Amino acid sequence: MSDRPLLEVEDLVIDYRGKRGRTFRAVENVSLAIRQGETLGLVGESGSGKTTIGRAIQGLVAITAGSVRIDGTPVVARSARDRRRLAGDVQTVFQDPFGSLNPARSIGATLEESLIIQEPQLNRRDVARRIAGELDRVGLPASSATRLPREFSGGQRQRIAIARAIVARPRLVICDEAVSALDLSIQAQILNLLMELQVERGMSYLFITHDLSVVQHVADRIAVLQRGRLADELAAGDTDPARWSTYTRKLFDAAPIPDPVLQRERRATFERVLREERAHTAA
Amino acid sequence: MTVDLSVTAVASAARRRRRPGPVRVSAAIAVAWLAAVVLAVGLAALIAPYDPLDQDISSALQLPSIQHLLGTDALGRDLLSRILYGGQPTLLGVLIAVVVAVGIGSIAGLAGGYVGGAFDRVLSVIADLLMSLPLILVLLAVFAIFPNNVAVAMGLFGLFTSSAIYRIVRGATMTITGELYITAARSTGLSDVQIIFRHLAPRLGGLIRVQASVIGAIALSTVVGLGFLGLDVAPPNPSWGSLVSEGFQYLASNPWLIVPPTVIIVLTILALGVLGDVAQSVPNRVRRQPSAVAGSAASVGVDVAAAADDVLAAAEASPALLTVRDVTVRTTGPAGVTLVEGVSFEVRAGEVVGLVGESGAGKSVTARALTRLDASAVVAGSVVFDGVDLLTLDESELRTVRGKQIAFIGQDPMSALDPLFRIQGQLAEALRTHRRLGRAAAKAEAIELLRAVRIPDAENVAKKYPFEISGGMAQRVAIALALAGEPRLLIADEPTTALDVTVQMEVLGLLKTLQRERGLAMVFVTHDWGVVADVCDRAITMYAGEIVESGRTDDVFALPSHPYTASLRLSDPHLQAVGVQLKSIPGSLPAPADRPSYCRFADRCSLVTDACRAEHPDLIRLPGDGRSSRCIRTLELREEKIHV
Amino acid sequence: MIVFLLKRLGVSALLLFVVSFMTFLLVSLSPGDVAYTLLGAYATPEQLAAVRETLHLDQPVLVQYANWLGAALSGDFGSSLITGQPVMDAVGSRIEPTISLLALTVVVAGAAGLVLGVVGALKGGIAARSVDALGLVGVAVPGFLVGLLLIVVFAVDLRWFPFGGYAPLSQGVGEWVAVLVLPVIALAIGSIGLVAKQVRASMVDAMGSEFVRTFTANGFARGSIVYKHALRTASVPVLAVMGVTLVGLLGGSVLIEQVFGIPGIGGLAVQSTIQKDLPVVQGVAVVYTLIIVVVNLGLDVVFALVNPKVSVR
Repeated sequence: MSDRPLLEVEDLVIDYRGKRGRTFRAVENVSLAIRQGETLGLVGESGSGKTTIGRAIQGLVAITAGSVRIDGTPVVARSARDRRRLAGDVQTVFQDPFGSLNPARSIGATLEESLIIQEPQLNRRDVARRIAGELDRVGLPASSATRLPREFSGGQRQRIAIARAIVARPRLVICDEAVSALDLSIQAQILNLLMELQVERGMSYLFITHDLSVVQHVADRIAVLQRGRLADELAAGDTDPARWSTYTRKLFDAAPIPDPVLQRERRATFERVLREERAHTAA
Repeated sequence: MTVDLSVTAVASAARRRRRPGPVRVSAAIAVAWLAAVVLAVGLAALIAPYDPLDQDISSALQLPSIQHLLGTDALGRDLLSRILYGGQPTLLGVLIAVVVAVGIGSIAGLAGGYVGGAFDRVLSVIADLLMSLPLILVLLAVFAIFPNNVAVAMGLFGLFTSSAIYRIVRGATMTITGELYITAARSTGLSDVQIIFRHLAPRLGGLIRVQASVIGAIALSTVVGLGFLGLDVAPPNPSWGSLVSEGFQYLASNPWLIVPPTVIIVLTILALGVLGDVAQSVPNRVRRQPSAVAGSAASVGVDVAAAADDVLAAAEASPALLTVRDVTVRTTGPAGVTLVEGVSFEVRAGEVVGLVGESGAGKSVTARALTRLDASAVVAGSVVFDGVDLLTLDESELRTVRGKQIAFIGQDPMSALDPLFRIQGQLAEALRTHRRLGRAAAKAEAIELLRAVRIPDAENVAKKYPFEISGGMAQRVAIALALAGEPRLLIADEPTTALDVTVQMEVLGLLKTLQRERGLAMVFVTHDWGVVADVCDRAITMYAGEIVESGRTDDVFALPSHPYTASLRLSDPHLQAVGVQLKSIPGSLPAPADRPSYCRFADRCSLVTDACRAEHPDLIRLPGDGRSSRCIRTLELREEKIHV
Repeated sequence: MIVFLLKRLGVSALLLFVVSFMTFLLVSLSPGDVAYTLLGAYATPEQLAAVRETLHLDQPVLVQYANWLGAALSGDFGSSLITGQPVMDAVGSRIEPTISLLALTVVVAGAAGLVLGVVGALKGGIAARSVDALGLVGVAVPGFLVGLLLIVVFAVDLRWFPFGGYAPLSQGVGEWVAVLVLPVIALAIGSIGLVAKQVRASMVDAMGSEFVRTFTANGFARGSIVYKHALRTASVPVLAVMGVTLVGLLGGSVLIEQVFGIPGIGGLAVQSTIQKDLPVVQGVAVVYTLIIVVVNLGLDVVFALVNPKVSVR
């Protein structure tokens, strides 16, 4: 077990080119690290830059400044070959269970594509065996391999997406809002699956989400992003809001609690904070 | 099967399964005709009875006979043979045009659409230019460099037309490239070429086939036109266009001469057009709302008059603003699917009732059925609002209720407003529709409405277009629009699901405030139990198209009385402490077609017994205001004799 | 908005250059030239060379083009190599019939297409299928064939309309219309179907948009939803289609003018092309392109007015 973190992000800056040449800074000076076997939660609202960071680590988005390192080696993603090499270490489970699988290809073909590109030396029988094994591990029958995505429910498709991500044995899996589009009863299933897989295979997770409560259940540490910047970094057991930044507290308070009594208190707090904020900006 | 319970999705899925016959038949005929023509023309040398240039003045301008099946022309040449041979340069021209147009257009469209950036911009400008070039240049090409050379002329025509194909392919490519599975493919390390061939090209096949047919039809029309002008082949060689021209010349003396080539040309163009049309079928028409009168009584199977009186009497007795009784929603047609059944509940004035459940539960379908917002849904039962059963009203009567008595806000704020009009105008229109206001008064009142929904700087926002404001603000505007008619009841279909959590909190706060200020009742559809706790006075849990539990919010949270509601609490990360593994419910919600005849939750329930699978359970009344549960073990659950 | 229009103007200017250059190139590169036409087949090489020199046909193509361009930009389009008539006069005297034909066709096709498309979208069923069928037939039967049929039936047999030819507007609207009825119908038939089809598709799309559902749900008047909101949303793709159909109409007009004997620039185009009368060919090409440019610019202006995203951002 090396001392060095598996993933190191240092002073990351990512700019986008907007319309008429205007640049938009999506990520500004963000630093974080993930050790082997650890889960880091990345929390933020829309426009916080969390998805952009995930894409940058996967080599899909160009980095303007700063560095992203896997095992000390800087991530370079200028060509398809670079991306392929990176994909051996890092894979992503995407948010949309209905859009992340090619609707015209069978599940088996999709999984095979991810596997063969990393392990081209495998023969057909080994490939089939590996795929069947992964499908089984994520709770789907081996016969799924010949079926098309549209024959599966949202939760099942997300299992397939997980299978596709882990089939090539990556060390880091980026879960980009992987459970946000799922119903409550299915969400728990998928979260449990992800946690089990982590224990079995020693993978690290970058868990990107907007839901602070969900992330507290799966992450060892949590980074909170606000408009491209790091607002806070918490340890999972750190449930004392007093030690959080104002923004994190606001984010936390804004999620309604499924308990009428507690929620009445929370709303009162939220409204008070809002009034203070308004008075503050007016002044 | 995915459970998409939106009415239109289920209805169109049913329609797709019953694809109408006539469409397939006409396509088959078209293909057969084209094959026959191509074959005949190709084999002209073998099957033509005469040489096309053989003259025989003595038998000029004859009508069809045994020797000359289609008659002869002015020089005694056999028309049938001339048509067969004449098809060669004509169809060759069409082929060249199609290959060039589709070939260049598709490749350029794929490349431009996928790569984007400056490359795409340059290609687009070139395509723009090509699309605007006048036909005269084609004429010049034929004459100038290669006289009577159909190949060059149609090649150039193909080049010009490729711009249209480029547009279409580029558009489709950009759409597909934006889809998530292309991003996923890139993340696994596939090269661009591999992605284009494996993931993009297969999806474009159908589109390109259709465009090829359409181009073929236009190309045939064009080459015939060129032939008519005498520009395609050197006489005396025939082409279909030149044959038409000859026929035109002799129209007075032998009107038959023009008929065979014309008919062949028209039929072939039609065939190509039909092939191009088949895949482009547009949904038949704008959906109109059906009246539910006849349907409702028949479906319920009860005498209309008696049922109506009973229901009205019951409604008058209770103080409820809205009384929903035994509502069933099915998709239209004989193969209709039942989406929701036996739904009954009440909404009192000023009360917020939540319809809670996961996707596919039927909550949205139910809410939208109250004012019959989905044309592809047939609603049965009764929906009594203020003493009137809405299901007995026809469309124009219902229109007087919508907006004025019962308003609606939906899930996506950005598409709730017309993007082409300013906000003030749309609000003013809503105001003038429901209240007697002049133009100026309406515009001023529109600004007041914006203030009522707490939008800062209302005058400036009023002048903006919907795309200029944020999602949260757009939802406030949508609420303002809904309130323009001063309704008594608001149907809110997941109004905050698409918003950020901090914005959601503000919008919910706004709704609560407005509700208090105006005594507004609400039917609030949501999947989020936190929102229920925040906003709803009463909670109705739906599962697989029916109500499984209901009661005051405080009661339902304090003592869940159905295994489904109880299990959900255990899987909710908002409720469970950090470190505790979330209990999950195995399996998933059954699709409408797969619903069992016994308890619909039984197959996922940890408390299931044999009795649960014996028959479909009814809703059991429990102590408490509107308290009920559809579980036969509810009493054991409530007394904590069993736990999920 | 201004920026948008300026960009479109730039592209239009570019288009004019490209068209004039390509036309020039095509005619100049062809074997044989006007010298033959003028002197006949028995001319001696010296005579041909002399004529060519007089007409500056012996200079490099690019130089010839530059000369033409320079003159054209100052309004001088030269004269016909065959008749000596100034190109502007030749074109000017024949332009009214063509413009009349095109303008009326656009109006008829646009109006009829709009009405049929909206009816097809709203009524559905048989009406919609009829609209589709009309579109198919319209595209299938080439306009000039329809023209022939119309002449035979209405002009020859029934004698309701004149046989062909043209009556200038200055001599009375009634006659002007009468002589154009059949050719306009023949030319418009193809486009009506296309426009109607596009209108129908766009209307059905627009009526299915989320905001239409929201407005309906909140009790907006049906008439306003259909004719004020949905129609405006639908107009965007329809405008695009009309721009494309115009180019097709130009080509079709050449044929229709032949069939009906209308003395427009279509005939001039064919004639000057066959005779390799370069200045006239250039003039006609420029005129056709100008028509396209002007109409497209007009459509762009309407598009910008309808679509706030263009003017505001």
